[in-house]
Parts: sequence; C-alpha cells; structure tokens
Amino acid sequence: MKITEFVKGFMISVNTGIQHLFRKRMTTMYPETQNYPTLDMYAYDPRKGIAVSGWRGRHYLDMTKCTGCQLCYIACENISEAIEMVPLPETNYPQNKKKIFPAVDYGRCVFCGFCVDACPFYALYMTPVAELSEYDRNDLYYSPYELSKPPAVNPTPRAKEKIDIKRGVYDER
Amino acid sequence: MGTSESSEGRKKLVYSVGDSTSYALVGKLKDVVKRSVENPLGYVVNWGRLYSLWPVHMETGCCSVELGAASGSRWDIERFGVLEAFGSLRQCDLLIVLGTVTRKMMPRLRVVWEQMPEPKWCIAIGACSISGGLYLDSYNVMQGIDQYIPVDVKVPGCPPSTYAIIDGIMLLMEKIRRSDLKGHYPAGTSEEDVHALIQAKEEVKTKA
Repeated sequence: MKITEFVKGFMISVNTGIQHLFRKRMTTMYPETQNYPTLDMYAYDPRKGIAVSGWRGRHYLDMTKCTGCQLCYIACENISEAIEMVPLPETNYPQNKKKIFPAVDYGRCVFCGFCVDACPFYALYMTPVAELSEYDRNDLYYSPYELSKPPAVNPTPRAKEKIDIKRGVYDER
Repeated sequence: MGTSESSEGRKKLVYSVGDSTSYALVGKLKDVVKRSVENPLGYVVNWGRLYSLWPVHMETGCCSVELGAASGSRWDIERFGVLEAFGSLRQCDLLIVLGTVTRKMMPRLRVVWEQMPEPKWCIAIGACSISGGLYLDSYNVMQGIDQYIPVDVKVPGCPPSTYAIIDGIMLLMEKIRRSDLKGHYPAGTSEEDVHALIQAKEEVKTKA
C-alpha cells in the first residue's frame, strides 16, 4: 500500500466527519419542539362518503352538534367497548333531547376511528394529540366535558378543498 | 362526573416548555431549590436514578416495534438516559411491558418483576397491557396487569406513537423526582400500601 493512498483515504474520512458537523440534526428534540407529523384532524364526511386523512389521537366532541344518537357507541360496541353514553341532565342543547353524550375510556380505545366514521352530524373528530399517559387508570376515562375541550395544539379545520397531485388522491379538507 | 384535574395540570406543565420558556425556567428553579433544601440527600440520589433508567423489555406484542423506533436515532430516548435492551434483570430498575399479557405469561412477568432489585418502576404500554384492549372478556388474556403488579405509568394507544412513549417516560421521571430516598411515591408508601389502595378501589367499584 502506497503512502499516498493511505493519506487520501484518511482525508476522505476526515472530510465526511467535518460534513456531518454542519448537517441538520436528525433527532427530534421532542419535549421542546413538538412537531407532529400532521396537524389535520381525522374526520369523515357522511354525505360524500369520503374520509379526510389525519393523525388519529384524542377525540374532539362538538357538544353543540351531538344529538345523542348512540351510533358511535354501536360502532365501538364490538371492537373494544371504549365508548359509553353518559347522561348529563344539566345540559340544555336543543338538538340533544335525550341529554346523553359519549365518554371515552382511553385505556380501552384502540384509535381505529370507526366512531368518527359512524357520526352523521359532524360532531366527532380526532386530533393529533396522542400524549395521554397517566399515573392512574381512572384518569384515562374522559368525560364529555373533557372531550369537548380543544387540545393545546391548534389543528387545522377541514373547511377548504385541496387536491394532492403528488399522491394522486382527492383530499377534501 | 369524575373530571380529572390532575391530568390537565400535568399537560399544562408539559406544554409550557414550548410556549413560554422563561416562566418554565423560573418555575423549575423554584422547584429545584425547594426540594433540594427540604431533602438534600434524597434529591441527589433521585437525580442519579432519574437519568440512568435501565429497562427490561417484556416484549409480548407489536408495541415493541414502537419502543425500538423510540430508541432509534429519530426519537432518541437515550437523551434521557434510558438505554436499549439490557441483559441482566438484576441490574435493571425499569420494567416496560409491551403488549398482550396472557394467563400463561403472567406468572413469568411476576417472576421477572420480583427478580429486579428495589427501587423499581413499571410502565404499561398499549391498550392490551392496561385493560385487555381488544381482547375484552377473553378467557386467557389478563384484563389489565395493574391488578397483579404495581404499574406506575400507563401509556394508552394501540400501539402508542413514539412521542407518546417518550411522554410516558418523562412522566415517570417526574414521579421519580418527587419520590423519597427509598424510591416510593408519594413519600412514605410501600408496595403493600399500593396493593391495599388497589383493593380499596376495587371494593368501591363493586359497591357502586
């Protein structure tokens, strides 16, 4: 082996080492920067029959639209029994005369999104917030009031239309 | 209705890091000074435990893939001192249960738990290990491992994403930071007390 080849190989490895010093860091510094994969809410449009793609995390319940029809409960009944209809007699919404709302047990929920698909009144969404870990099992049970609070991150609403040319998929958001 | 105020308080604490750094820093400094003056030896010992968690992986399901991704280079949990899979149970202090625990696996899990030296902690990851998940009313799947071993942190999801797992580990670190010299939380409790608490809760549930 000639000494010039040895020096050349050595210099190449030093060069790649120096290049890596100035590259963008690959690791996501998680608790400081919370960059979620997407901020879209998973939703379903029952009139058009199109599901809007999004990250499936904690639910968001719109209590001004929920009619207490129990379709989300029926969808969840044979999957994991996470949703339970809870009577809230103190509420006074005109569309919900039975005064029952869904409550979700996140110890059982598998985030399949079938409850969102089943809702015909645009009342259930899924937000990208997935950090739901707790010390106590009972804290994983979310009441309708907790579900109706918007999450700390701001997910985008689904009002505007969009066509994704790259994937060749119609995405109506 | 049982609204959990504790969960909201914890989330505020986590989210305040990104939004207003100065307030979070001041709150952290106040907390550090208070705890180090109250119990200096416990503070130093827990600080040492906190940043060197050696885990045992009980990989019985598909959640183990997500933990593998969390210890990869994209979401590097070794930044917090949590190592990858380690050989000996006798030198570990964190049991991570990933997946479905069957009736046949539960005695082995209990043996693994009792082989680990004190102080030790346990994280249950995934719906199966928290409550049985999809295998509800099954004849051979345990409906939640917290009836048999004390679980410190539950991470829901099927499987939970990597950042949810990191959030669970940070929650456990917060617990260790607030525990006493023996590693019990809240300070002054033991494993028997935890079991008594679980039994009391079960009695309340059956009565109601």
